Amino acid sequence: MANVGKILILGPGPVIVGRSTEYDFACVQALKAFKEAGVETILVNSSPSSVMTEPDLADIVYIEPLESERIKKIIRKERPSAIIPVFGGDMALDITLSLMRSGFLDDNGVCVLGTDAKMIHSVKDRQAFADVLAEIGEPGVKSSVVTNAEAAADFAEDIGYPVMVSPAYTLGGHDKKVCYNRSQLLELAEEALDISLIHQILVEKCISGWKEIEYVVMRDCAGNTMSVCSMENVDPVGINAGDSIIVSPAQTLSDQEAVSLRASAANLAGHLRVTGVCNVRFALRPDGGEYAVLEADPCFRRASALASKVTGYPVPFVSAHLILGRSLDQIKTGFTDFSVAISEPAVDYCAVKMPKWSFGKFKSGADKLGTAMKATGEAMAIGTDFESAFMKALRSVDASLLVPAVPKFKAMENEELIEAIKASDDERIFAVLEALSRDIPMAAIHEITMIDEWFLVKMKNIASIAKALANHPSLEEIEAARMAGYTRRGIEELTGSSCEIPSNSFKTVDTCAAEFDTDSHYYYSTADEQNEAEESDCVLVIGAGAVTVGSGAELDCCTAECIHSLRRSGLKTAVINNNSGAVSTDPRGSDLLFVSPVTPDDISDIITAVRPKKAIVQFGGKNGYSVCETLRRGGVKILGADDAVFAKTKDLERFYAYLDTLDIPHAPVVWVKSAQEAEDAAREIGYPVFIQGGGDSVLAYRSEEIRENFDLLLERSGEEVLPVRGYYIGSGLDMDVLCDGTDCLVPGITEQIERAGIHSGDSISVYPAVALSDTIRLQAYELARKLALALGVKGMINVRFVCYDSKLYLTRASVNNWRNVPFITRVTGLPVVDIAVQCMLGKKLANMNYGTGIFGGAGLYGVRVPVFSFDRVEGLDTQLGLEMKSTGEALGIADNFEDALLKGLAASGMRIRHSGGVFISVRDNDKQEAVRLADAFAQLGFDIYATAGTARMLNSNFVPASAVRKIHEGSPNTLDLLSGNKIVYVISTSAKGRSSLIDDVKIRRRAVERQIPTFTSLDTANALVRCLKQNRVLNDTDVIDLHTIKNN
Amino acid sequence: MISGKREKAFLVLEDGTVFSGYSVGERGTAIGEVVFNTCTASYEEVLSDPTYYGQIVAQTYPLVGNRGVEGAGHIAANGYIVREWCDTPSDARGETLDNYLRRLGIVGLCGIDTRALTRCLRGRGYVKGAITDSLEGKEELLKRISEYSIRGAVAAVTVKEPEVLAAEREEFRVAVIDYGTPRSLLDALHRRNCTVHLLPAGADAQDVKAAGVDAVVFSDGPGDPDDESGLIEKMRGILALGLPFIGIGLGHQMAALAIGGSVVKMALGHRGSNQPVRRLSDGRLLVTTQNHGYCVQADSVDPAAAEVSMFNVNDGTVEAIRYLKFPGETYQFTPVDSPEHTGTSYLYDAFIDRIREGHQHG
Repeated sequence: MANVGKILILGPGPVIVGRSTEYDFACVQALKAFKEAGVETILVNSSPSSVMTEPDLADIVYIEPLESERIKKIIRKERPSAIIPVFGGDMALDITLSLMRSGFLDDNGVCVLGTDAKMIHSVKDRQAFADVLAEIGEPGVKSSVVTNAEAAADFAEDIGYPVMVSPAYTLGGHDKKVCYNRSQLLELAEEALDISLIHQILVEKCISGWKEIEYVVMRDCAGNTMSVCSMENVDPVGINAGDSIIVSPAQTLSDQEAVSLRASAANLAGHLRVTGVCNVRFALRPDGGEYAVLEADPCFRRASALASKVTGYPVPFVSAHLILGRSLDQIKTGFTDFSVAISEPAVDYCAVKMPKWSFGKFKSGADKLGTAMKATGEAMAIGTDFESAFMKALRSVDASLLVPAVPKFKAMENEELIEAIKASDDERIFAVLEALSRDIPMAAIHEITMIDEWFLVKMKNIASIAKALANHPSLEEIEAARMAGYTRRGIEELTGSSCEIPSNSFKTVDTCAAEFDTDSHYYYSTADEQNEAEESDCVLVIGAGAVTVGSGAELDCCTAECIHSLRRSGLKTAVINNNSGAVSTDPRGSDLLFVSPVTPDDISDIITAVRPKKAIVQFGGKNGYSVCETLRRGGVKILGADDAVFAKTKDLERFYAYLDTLDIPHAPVVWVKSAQEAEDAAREIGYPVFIQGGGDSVLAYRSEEIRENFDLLLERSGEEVLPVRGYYIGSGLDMDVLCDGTDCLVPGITEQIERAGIHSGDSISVYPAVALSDTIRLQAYELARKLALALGVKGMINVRFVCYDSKLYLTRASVNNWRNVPFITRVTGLPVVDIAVQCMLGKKLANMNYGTGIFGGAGLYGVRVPVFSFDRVEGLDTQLGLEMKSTGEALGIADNFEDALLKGLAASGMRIRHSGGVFISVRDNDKQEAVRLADAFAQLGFDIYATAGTARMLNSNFVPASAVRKIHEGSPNTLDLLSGNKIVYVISTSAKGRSSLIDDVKIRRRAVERQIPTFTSLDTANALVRCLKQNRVLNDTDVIDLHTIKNN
Repeated sequence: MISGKREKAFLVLEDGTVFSGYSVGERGTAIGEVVFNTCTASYEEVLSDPTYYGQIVAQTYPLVGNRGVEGAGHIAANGYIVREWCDTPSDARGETLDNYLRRLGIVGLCGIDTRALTRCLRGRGYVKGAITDSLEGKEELLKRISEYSIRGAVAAVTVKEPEVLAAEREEFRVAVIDYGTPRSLLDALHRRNCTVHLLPAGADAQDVKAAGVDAVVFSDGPGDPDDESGLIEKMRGILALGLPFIGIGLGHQMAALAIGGSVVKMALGHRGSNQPVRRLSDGRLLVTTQNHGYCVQADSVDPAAAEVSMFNVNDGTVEAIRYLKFPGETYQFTPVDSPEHTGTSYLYDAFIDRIREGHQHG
């Protein structure tokens, strides 16, 4: 084994669509492997909500912006002998490539492990990959890059229609468009050429509808290969694998096809000389006989994580050892004494992964699925057949889906239903299920969707069972439903009466199909009799399921740290989660792992089998609380927050009434039944007022705004009354309060930079709260403490305030929202979740070494900057509002605020420029502040641009501004301006857009496409100005090893 | 999920354990040695593999027959057990498993917890049992089970008369001594431009000479090699001809016996497509497909005559032997071949190379 010295591992950065917690899973498992192997590690990541940045995994941890100059700085300081980008996704690869090409790595004696430039080029560059395939005689998809529509048509004639066209070099996802004939091609080609930043398009043979199969293989430096598993997309080529339902192992392959594809994958990995994991995707013509290699990716990816979870085979662990030079037979996987990594997993179950979208949050973004991924997360389930795995996956993605149907499709006529299926959006599978339960011929559904009939038959089975259950089912039919994965409540929902069915039992994922007795405690439920899960005096930890906007990586982070804390306390842990990309679903991370939906019946089965004594649900998002009743009935004690506290804090009416009893000030609120009453209330309370209903909301500054929106909100909410709340435009404060029943400890109080109208999850948060006076700070602490003690919190609770006119108002208390926990943990060095868990276990803060009251901090500032995936969702308006939109976060840490802010903004991907043009377009409310802001930019040397009215106003206030035409006033206009290279910042706080036709929305979309930082709140822009005034660049700031924080 | 009405059927093990399920294929009673196989997609290979003669094979993978069966029309196993079989195969070409089994008169069982069965069988070596459609004669059945043993396996499965399978562009002629070979071996040779002379198990040196072939393959087959002393004697004669050869599975075991080695019945067999094997010459690892219950004892191989060239990574058993006095190598596992090269295809290529070399040197 090579003696490697220090190795630098690059993390993936903040969570965005397409790059999520799976990289955290990989880095954590890999770091553990390196530690075991005695290798010193340095980890760099820019997101704090990542378990990999926990202080006891890597030897040296940096939370720094992930960009070349930064990494260079770290390399110069730490002098590693190797850099490993393969666990960090594309950002890590790009940085490594750039450092390679500039010669920096060579100059500093750093070698790249796990991949090399040639390999990356061979798979990323279209032509190079085509060459590789030709060299080894593997068929690829015929394609060509052209710069004009005529050439595209010629090529299409050559390879035959249909073909697909997509723009080359754009930022973010653009679907490929299918062309069936010349005229269509010419039109779409022109469109695509226009979008492409380099006026190039890719034309390729259309393989839409072909089966999409993936093999994940491992290869060592000696050239030995093995296959971890095969996966098949239920939705064939045409819909991104991240948005497809995936089944493993592949179900519709013949033995010949399986042998061929597996061999092909191994050959590719061999030819590329991969050391580690290689994911190879194929397209297979449905009637067999022909296949094409779509992609080979020699780095850790979502597919690698899924392969790992589906089989139990520890892909990142093995990859790490392979990178260190071990061969596949030298790496022990731990299932039995003799299990080594060359053994291919034998699978005796069916696994189904389903994507989870946040389209509800992205209201104006297109719901249609295509070749560019849109899902924010995924959940998986395992069963002894496809039906039960499918049913469990459904309720893993959405715990309310006990029955495989969505009501709106039931009401549709056949024609409408067919249209819904053609629409190919995130709800399509329900349209398909509904169609299958009617007389619509399967062949017709197959024709439209190209979903293999094998899957359609299985889904028809599921639909048939639902029909049978709704029609006075026999005992046999109920038993069949149970075997197909229906829960008791699901059956009762359909039959309309109660039923008694036996508990489900559990089988083990052991990589050998029961051939050997293994050490595995990774379970899935089955309706069989034999139970492999044993009773265990353990603590159940409920995980948060698939990542969505609002319920993101921070929950998995907290769950993982909770498990860690329990284990350190000598307790056994049983994790219940279904997020296939999570750190907490690593079978090696806990004593027992149940990949399971989180619903009362599923939890009930686990309680019956395992008989745990305690459970922690508060890191499982809102859904964790839905099973508290079941836990209690099963004799399980809930540690930390339970459904009682959840209900008290969630229900606004109850909560505010409770605050009143405690004499804790909050914003005034009046419950109203109509728009008129709302207006009256608003007049009384004073504008602006905040009205929320049915997941939607409005911040009304004028009565017209109430009149326009109230009725819709009331209708959507399904309630009789809605609260009209006074909204204070002051500083938003956030703190997590640790409480042991007697004392409290607040690790830190953070302040939001954006004052009004933006969801706290989308605002930039600063720690410590810079503008806070000590009086207010103390007051906030006292109020929060009062609340925590009154609620009887033993553990942790999140409390938020708004400070307006030097007065504090408590706005929210939450026991399911832990957004700032990882951030605060990293910046203060306090193991927040660990302390919370210890309190839950009955320990006293006074006996721990952290003190009580407000923690004094470690002398560092932290700025948490939200990260969005706007470029991934076509047409989505970037204007931030009261519904959360960010998918991830980046963190900047420094010993002063401005540097921390600079680092945070840089880490979030913002291109910070110190000169150039600033385009300003603001709504009336902001006009006055805009003058000050524009002036600040002008003083710094920026050129100001605005549309006529605003420009006039600025000029008359002695701020020089150039006027630009509005979009409908002809060219050149604002869009043209943005397409050029003059503008470096856009400040746009105009009308909120539901329609992407509105000018302001168009402007903001164009800004996203050109990667121009856009500010939809003046507060954020002001923060940037504060930063720019320092006249420092990123390189002027220090890098900070988190371990230096730990000692306090 | 199994849809539709099925008739009840059972698996009775020699210790009295009963698994209740449903009938698939032929109804009736079939007795055999119950073994499990862990492959996922190659159920057709398993079904047509003569090495399962006398056995009842249970698939650990729960969803079998998704692509139907196009099969050659011959099953050597006594019985077949699956958890769920597909009654609507994707791909109209094949017939359903149920039809196929019934057509060939094979008794099958479905709808049992095959994982529970595997856990029951593992660690116990060889368990005999029977699939039956009624538990009424259970005591009688248990007696028959305990008396059951696999005899005359090779004789039962070998071809009765020699067959010649001509290659399209013949480069070489190879004799395959059929101890119960799966067709895949013949395909592999065909792909390499070999005309195959398929000879019955009882063929001797005379027969091989008469066929005028360039090389010999001692095929895989069912049963206990120690039962085949007659065939082993004939094998000695064939070896003495000095032709390049390979041996597979049973053929490998018998060749070892032919040079004085010994074979032992394994505690557990190897049955699946993920058996890891290490090549001694360079440490190279192969993932192999195996189905056997016997293996050659490593220390019984006379170093003057042959050397062990590959070992099983998990349990250290002998996986290949290279002969010193005769030009050949034998393998415990079945090299899998396909138009795309698999990890073990090279063994066939190496064999062809040896034949070519043999020719060049006259």
